[in-house]
Amino acid sequence: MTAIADLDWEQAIAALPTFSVLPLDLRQAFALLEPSRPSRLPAPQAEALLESGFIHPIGSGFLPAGRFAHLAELVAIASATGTLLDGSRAGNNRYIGKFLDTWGDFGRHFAARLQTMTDRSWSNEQILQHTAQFTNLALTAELWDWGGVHGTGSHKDLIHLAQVRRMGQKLLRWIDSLPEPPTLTTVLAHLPDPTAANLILRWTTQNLALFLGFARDRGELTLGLHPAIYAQRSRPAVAKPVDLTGVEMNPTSYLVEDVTILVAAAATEPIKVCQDGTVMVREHKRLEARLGSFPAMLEPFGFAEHRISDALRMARSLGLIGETRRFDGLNATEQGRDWLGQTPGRRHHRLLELLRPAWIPDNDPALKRDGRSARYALINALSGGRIPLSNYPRSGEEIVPAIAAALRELGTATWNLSQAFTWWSRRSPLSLDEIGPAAERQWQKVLTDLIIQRGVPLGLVALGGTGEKTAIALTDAGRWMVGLADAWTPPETLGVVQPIIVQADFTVIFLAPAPGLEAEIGRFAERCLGAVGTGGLFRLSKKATQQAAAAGLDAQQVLAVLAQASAKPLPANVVRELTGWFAAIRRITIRVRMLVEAPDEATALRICAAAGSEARQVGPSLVVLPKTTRQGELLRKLSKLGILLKQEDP
Amino acid sequence: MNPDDPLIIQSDRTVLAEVDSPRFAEVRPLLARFAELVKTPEHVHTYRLTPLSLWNARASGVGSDEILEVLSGFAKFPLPSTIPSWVRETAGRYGRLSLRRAPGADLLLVADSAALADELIGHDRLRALLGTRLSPTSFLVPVEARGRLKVTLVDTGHPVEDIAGYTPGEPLRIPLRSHSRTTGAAFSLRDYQRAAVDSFHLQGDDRGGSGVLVLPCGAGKTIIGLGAMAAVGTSTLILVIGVTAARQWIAEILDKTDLTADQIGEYDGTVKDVKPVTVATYQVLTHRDRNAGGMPHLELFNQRDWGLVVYDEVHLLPAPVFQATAGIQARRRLGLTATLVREDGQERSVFALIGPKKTDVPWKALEATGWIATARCTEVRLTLPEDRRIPYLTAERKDQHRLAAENPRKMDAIRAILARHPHEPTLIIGLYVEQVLAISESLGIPHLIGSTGQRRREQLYADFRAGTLRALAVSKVANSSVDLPDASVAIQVSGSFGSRQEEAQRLGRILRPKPGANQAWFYTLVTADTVEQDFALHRQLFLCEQGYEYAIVDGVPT
Repeated sequence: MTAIADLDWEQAIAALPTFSVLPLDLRQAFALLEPSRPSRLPAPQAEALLESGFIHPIGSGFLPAGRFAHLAELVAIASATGTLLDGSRAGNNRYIGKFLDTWGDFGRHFAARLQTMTDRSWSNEQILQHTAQFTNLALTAELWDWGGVHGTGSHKDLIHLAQVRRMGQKLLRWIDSLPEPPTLTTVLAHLPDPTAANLILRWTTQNLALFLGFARDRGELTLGLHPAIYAQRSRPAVAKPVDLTGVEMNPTSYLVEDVTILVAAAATEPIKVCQDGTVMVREHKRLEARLGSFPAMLEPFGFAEHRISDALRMARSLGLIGETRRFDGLNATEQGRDWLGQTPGRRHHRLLELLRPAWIPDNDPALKRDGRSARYALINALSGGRIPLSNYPRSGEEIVPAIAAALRELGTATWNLSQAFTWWSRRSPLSLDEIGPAAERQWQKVLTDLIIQRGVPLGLVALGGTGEKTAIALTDAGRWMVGLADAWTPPETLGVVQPIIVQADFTVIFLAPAPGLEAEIGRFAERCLGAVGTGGLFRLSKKATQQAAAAGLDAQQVLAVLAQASAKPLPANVVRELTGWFAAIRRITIRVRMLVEAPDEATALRICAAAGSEARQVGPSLVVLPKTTRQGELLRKLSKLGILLKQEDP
Repeated sequence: MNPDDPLIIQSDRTVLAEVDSPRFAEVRPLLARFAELVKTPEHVHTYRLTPLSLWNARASGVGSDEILEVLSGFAKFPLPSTIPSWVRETAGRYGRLSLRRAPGADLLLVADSAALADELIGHDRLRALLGTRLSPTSFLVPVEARGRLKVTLVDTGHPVEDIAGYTPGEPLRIPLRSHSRTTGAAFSLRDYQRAAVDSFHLQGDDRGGSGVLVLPCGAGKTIIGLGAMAAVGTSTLILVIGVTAARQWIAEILDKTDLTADQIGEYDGTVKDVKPVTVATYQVLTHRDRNAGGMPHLELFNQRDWGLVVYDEVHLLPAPVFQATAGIQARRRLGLTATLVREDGQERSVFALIGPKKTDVPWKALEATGWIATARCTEVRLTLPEDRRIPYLTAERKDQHRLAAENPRKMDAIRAILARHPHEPTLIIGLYVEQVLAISESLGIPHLIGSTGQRRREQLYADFRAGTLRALAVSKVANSSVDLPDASVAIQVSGSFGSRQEEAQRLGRILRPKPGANQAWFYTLVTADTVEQDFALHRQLFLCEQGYEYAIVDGVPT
């Protein structure tokens, strides 16, 4: 296929009036021709085209007749335009190289233009996005300035003619004002003279401001804006969701609690992780059993299995847990232990405070103060690394504030969830809405991922209702987080000073969540599987006591922790048993010694005498010497006394 | 969060109830209707929601909405999100299937939807038990498959409501006496006993007549059994755990009903009388004939037209008896137990074959009303004498328990305890016969061991009851249903390796109501720093879980 830059527009346009008067079926048949390779055509249309002089036979196929050859190339390019755009949209992750292989000369021209502008490889999605921006620029600029764009071929000088550029921009604006792409014949009628038309068409198409098209249903060549722009324009308008009333919203924040559970676990014993940083399978199961139940409301979104990894990443990003020694697993940091000592409300506030810079508008001074790298870390925590923001047209750094901007539209209203997403996707602050439904779907996925998988678990967004009637609203924390409120005071749970009861059956019952205490008690008690936050979390046992003693705790410390936190006096049997278990701990010392076996007691005594004060007789014929005793020297001394070393049996 | 509310519901389906909550008394009876009571330590009781507990609740007319209302209405924290859907789904399964009488000899299994019926025939095990499909929602069921079908349905998560009715059995009037035949004391069912009988019998309705009554030790399960027999008024087969218990049942029947000795049969290893009321042991029923093979005594189930079968201590029911029970689903069945928890996990079989729980009387309620005594538990720790320390440490593991159990210092402790309770009837209970004999000889008190003759036993009981005998040394015969009258003090000198069941039975010996302060004392003598102390920890846990205060003292009590 001829590149658009090499097309002889003059010849092609000259043939256009003749072509335009052909019946529809003949124009459609002509569009099936390949300009330089014989093509088969349906017999009746082939006969009619042959009779009209549009084609001539070659073997069993046909080629366009000489004066229509350039028109055939123009039609071929126009027919390929739509296919090219569809293909480029579908091949989301293809790059220019692959693109060139697929689309030959036309593609090479198409891509080459963009490469001159960017000097790097772009994904097809980015090409489309850039094209849309390009069109915007062409439509809105005072003078269409192609600065930095290098023309190709013999028309290089002409391209920079200001007069032509102005006329091109005028054409572009006129086409933009039409509801659909006009036919090429109409466009030509609109342009002043054939030479100017030739130049204007060449420049606008070469530079991807206007696109040739072949309307197969009408059998006509068209010239219009990027096809995706028409697709977007033709879609029905979306109404802003109305404020719903009477929907009971269910705040289902669990991420702060999950993070706390992990930090409490890491404070008790290191969390074992693989080299890639993921939690080992058995450890994962153990931790999972400690988590609270997953909100039923979120089950349809299907990300419950990521809870541990999400919480872990969040805890790591925020510096609550970390690897203190290599291969030792993840331990709670000082910050983490401090975290455990806070009230649930305070923890929630602290976490949001750390994440807030990523959510609030760019002009917020707090964001500037925090700096770019901190923001990256927070975004990583926010996306959990699991939501691949890098796969989207904009980086996570841009997306998170964009989502915050979308959420700000909610204000104090309650919207239908599905309507809200539709509304947001059409009004994307990333301007992706200009390039069609595929990009909208992507944007909607980003919205869903971050709002549902992060906003809800973080307590920023609440859901209510069920099924199609699911509703969404910002919480107080959410409004503060996105900059709609200056402050947020977390609802303080009632401070339970003594939140536990130690029972006579050795169970430790938590009447209120107290992760700090949980971590403390975890040092000397066995954790009961399945219990989370409140309830029977621990059992005091002899085994756990022995482990605690090995870690350096004593009975007084353990009893002090329990007595201080227990709402009831410690049961006498528990105190007695704990004290007894600790008292039963014995510490031994292992030393390496040299043991000398003598044939009789008298010899043993002589060895003792020879070896000096360090020798000790531990049996009638056994003498123990320190490990440091010089064996050679001792043997020499003994041999002088006639005591020789016994030869070992072979 | 409402800190005054008593319940914490955990996502593992355990429910913790804070006893000191002002609303605890209100929630306890409600909770007992749909949750299994696991343990009752002093401050926080633990219940568990299980499919069986929910089905039991449904069988007694409690719906899932009511269950969730109780849970959320009394909870300190919001319910875990998984609980409501699980309760609704699980409880909703009960009542979707019913087993009814069909015209002719067969039964009819009716499902509430064709989809459920389709699901049933999708199970290989169920398909084999179902007969012709009469309609999209019903199947014929051969009458002999009734029990197996019920078990299989429960196993596959589809409990069936059995309203196919019962065979009436041979009629037999069993009037309860108003006064004890032996002592002449006034006798009548206590309120909770009457309520338990009524919940079982349901005035003869087909929805009653089979089920399990759960009552704590000392609550008078035998008496409730007699009440049920009187209500049903038919020939009755009573299955018990041993000969002593069998004789005890017979003695109670004779003492508290108008039945005569010739109407009551004993069926065990030595005697095999089958009478209108027959008391048989599980052991003899499951005895294998070495020559012929099989268990010939299981035929007892069909030797008479029993109208009622009573299973004493149903949590100990052996597996072969379950199988036999599957074949007698047309007879009324009453299970009596202190706990539904079985070591072998056969709770589902109890539910399917004996019937759903009809009554669960918490022991604390009985203690509060004075129907059982208040017990004080004390563990006395004694060191081993120096000369026994090394032999103990160097002994084989299997011998260490005995060496610790027979610590001679226990004798001093027994004397000290007897001196502390000079006027209280006291049982001294040991595992090893030699130890029991030694105690008996050393203290000059009589003993009761397995080889003690029946006449001698009865004499000892009579003396003990009359107060002429203050202390009695007994071996593990005391573990079973020997009704030693009015013991107030039990001194446990050795036990079976921390058996919780043994502990419960021994405790039960002293829980019967006492005149005056209604107080009982339960002492356990343990050798410190030995395996006996480890085993004693299991017993300690059990008692604490039951809510008893447990004191530990070192050395001989003064």
